[in-house]
Amino acid sequence: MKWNLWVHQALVVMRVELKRYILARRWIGVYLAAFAPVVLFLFVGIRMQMRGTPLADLSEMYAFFYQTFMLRLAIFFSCALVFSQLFRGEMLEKTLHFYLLAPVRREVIAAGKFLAGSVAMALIFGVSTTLTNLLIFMPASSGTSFFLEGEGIPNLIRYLLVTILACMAYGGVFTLTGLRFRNPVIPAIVIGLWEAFYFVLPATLQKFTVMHYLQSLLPLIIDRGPFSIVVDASSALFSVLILFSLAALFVWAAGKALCGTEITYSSD
Amino acid sequence: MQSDRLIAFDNVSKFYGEVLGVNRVTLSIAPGVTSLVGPNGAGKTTLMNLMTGVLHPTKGTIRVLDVPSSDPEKFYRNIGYCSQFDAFPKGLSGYHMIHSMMMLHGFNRREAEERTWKVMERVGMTDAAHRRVAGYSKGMRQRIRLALALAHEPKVLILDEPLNGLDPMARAEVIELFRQFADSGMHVIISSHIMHEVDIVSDSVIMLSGGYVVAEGDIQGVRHEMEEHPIQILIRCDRPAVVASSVFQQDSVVEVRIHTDGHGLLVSTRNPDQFYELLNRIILQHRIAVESVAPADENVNAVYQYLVGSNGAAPL
Amino acid sequence: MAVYKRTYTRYAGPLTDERFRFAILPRYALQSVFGTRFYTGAFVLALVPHLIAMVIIYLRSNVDALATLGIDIRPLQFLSIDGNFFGTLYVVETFISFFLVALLGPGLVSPDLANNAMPLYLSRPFSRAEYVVGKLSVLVIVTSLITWVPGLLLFGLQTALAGLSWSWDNLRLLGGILVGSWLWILTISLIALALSAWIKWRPVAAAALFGVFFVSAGFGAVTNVMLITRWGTLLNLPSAMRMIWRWLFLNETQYRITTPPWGTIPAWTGLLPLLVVCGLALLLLSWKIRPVQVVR
Repeated sequence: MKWNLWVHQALVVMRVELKRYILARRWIGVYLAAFAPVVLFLFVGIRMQMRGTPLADLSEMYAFFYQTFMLRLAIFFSCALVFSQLFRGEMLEKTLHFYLLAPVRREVIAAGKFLAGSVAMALIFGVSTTLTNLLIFMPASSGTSFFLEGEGIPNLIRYLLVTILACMAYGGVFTLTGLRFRNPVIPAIVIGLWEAFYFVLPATLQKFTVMHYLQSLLPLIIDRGPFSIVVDASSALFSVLILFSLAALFVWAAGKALCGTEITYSSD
Repeated sequence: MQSDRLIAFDNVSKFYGEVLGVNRVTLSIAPGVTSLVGPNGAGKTTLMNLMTGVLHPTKGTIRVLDVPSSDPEKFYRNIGYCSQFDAFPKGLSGYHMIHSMMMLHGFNRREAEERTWKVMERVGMTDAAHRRVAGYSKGMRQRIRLALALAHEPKVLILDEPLNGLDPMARAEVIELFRQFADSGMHVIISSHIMHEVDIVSDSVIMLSGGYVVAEGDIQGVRHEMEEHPIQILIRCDRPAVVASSVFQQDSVVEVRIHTDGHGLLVSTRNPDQFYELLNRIILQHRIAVESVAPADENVNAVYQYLVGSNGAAPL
Repeated sequence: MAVYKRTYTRYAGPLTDERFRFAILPRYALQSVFGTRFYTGAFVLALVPHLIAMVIIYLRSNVDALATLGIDIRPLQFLSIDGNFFGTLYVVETFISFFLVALLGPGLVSPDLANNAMPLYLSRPFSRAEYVVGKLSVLVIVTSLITWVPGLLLFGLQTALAGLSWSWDNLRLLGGILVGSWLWILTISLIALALSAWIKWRPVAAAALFGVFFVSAGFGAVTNVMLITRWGTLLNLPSAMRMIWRWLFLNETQYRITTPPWGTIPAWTGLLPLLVVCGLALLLLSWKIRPVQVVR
């Protein structure tokens, strides 16, 4: 097993690909989705509405924002946009030759591209999560002590971990759908509905959603209303392992799909 | 020849749905410069893409130096492919792109840098090395594609229309480069429409038409096997009429045409060896001053016209 | 015969009027759209709400006559053909026309950019504005046929069945149908074209169109909660359009927010996000629709 070589090659692919994601104009939608909330929270902070608000209420508000907007919409749609174009986008631009003519295992190419997308998304949304988290709690009268002495930093770490894992898990799913389906919008819609309404699924089926494991890692779960089926959260370690394994499985499957890919550069 | 020195196609067919790409191709390509010749849609690019593993055959097997394309780590170490398309990741400079490819080959940073500069010097792109590839002219892109194919010193070089976009000086340099590679024991597979350059550079040709291989081998051998087309010999001399009247002694001579300038004639004969003997006797007998004697259609263009036809269709 | 073998003569026939050259684009685009069963089927399905409305209008006007035939539809008498009726119809059509544009729009500009066709268009006596108008008219024509055109026919049908007095009393609805439809058509069409120009891959451009609507709606909801305000509703484009419909059809100058924090906002403010989005889309199109790409 030539692990050293494979890791080296995956890192080379990742470095080449990262240049396409960081500060690239084509991903302006992703940056907007990530940093518009930061601007919003800046206004929240500036208005100092939270000076009198209890920390518990602030935590609920942040949980509502994170679980409604960040996880379900911003990260989900951004990952769908970025990861489904990892390979198909290259075929459209007629540049897939570059990697497929290199003496690199197809699984390694898939891993390298996936890593680049994950690092970029995790960086963008990680910064957004951190800034929004700081901006909502810091202006509060006990905000500083909440972070330095209280649950602030552990909660922030948990939110960051969920952000990174969400980017990886959804990234893996959309890397595979982007390769397997000529039109990945349809699986994206199906997956989107499945994930968005996971809370109405029976307990067994909820274990087949990414959202269940992500929610298990969050410090606070918001109330989903009278139709939601409450399921016991999985353990943190198990959730992390499941999400990593899911991402790895989908990337491996994408690599296998890439083995059979032909470059015909026909139009969609 | 040993299979690890050959590019072997074994009954390979490739269909794009119902459209034929190539059909029942069986080839063994030895080291040297081999040209793929054929009209548009003949299957040259399909054949090259099959050879490079970019396409998978519908039927049959392909092995390059005894390695199948299902083992990319070994397969692509041996192959350098210069395609028609710009396979350049966006935002990279020429240097960065080749350097990244060398790193993908497993070379360490220092060696990748050395190889990159070496190949960029070879193709004359050192001045533009740090400019973005997207800003290169057509000729520069062609050079950088060539550099990408050569940088890892492959044993098999496959080039799809490699002289496109190059000025005459650059074309001559690149042709010389191909000859050097072939002389060192490499396979150089070229596809080109420029017949006279194919003639100059190639050791052998593969002629394609309508997805089928219609001829394969060195051009002289192919030509001599085409018995239905008499060999045409151009003779430049002072008294072509005398030569013309004398050559019909031989039954194998089927046609003689005197050149409009009055200093040459074109003879069509079914038996060139016999004809040359006769020509020697005529020249000595009549004291003809001969400027040159050369085959007129022992070239790729002529063979192409005979086999494929001017409308691009293979003659029945 | 090969071109070089013919004697070349310049075309001496009539030329298309410059004002209508843009119409070449929708002519061919619509041919290929309605040449496929999928798109034709989607278009027909989009007309279903109008068909249902037509049936309701007819039945509503003939309750007594149908009763004599033994068909009892008296409950329909409680349904008025008024601003509420048309308002509900057009809120439904807002979503249907959005889906139709999401199907057709992304494939209009992206293939031209992906296949480098822009220099071919713009090297002719054909401007960028004409190109955009041409592509826009494809979506405008299709969506007009499922919005204001059948709406006017329904208005006409109701007038014919209820009498001219009804149409005088409800003249506002006519303006509402036209103004509201055009506003929505232009908004979604420009967004779809802009995304099609920005993202070369058609399916992803369609996904981005959904993303724009859903993500902005979610952000609007979050803004309302975080800033304890109602103005975040303006980020939800379908909600903004619903405000306009209610203003046009029901003369509701204040739009009631149905999520926390409850309250009202002026209905005319629904125009603002639509106009801003149209402006941004035009800016994006002017940026991307170019005959050449400059690389630095």
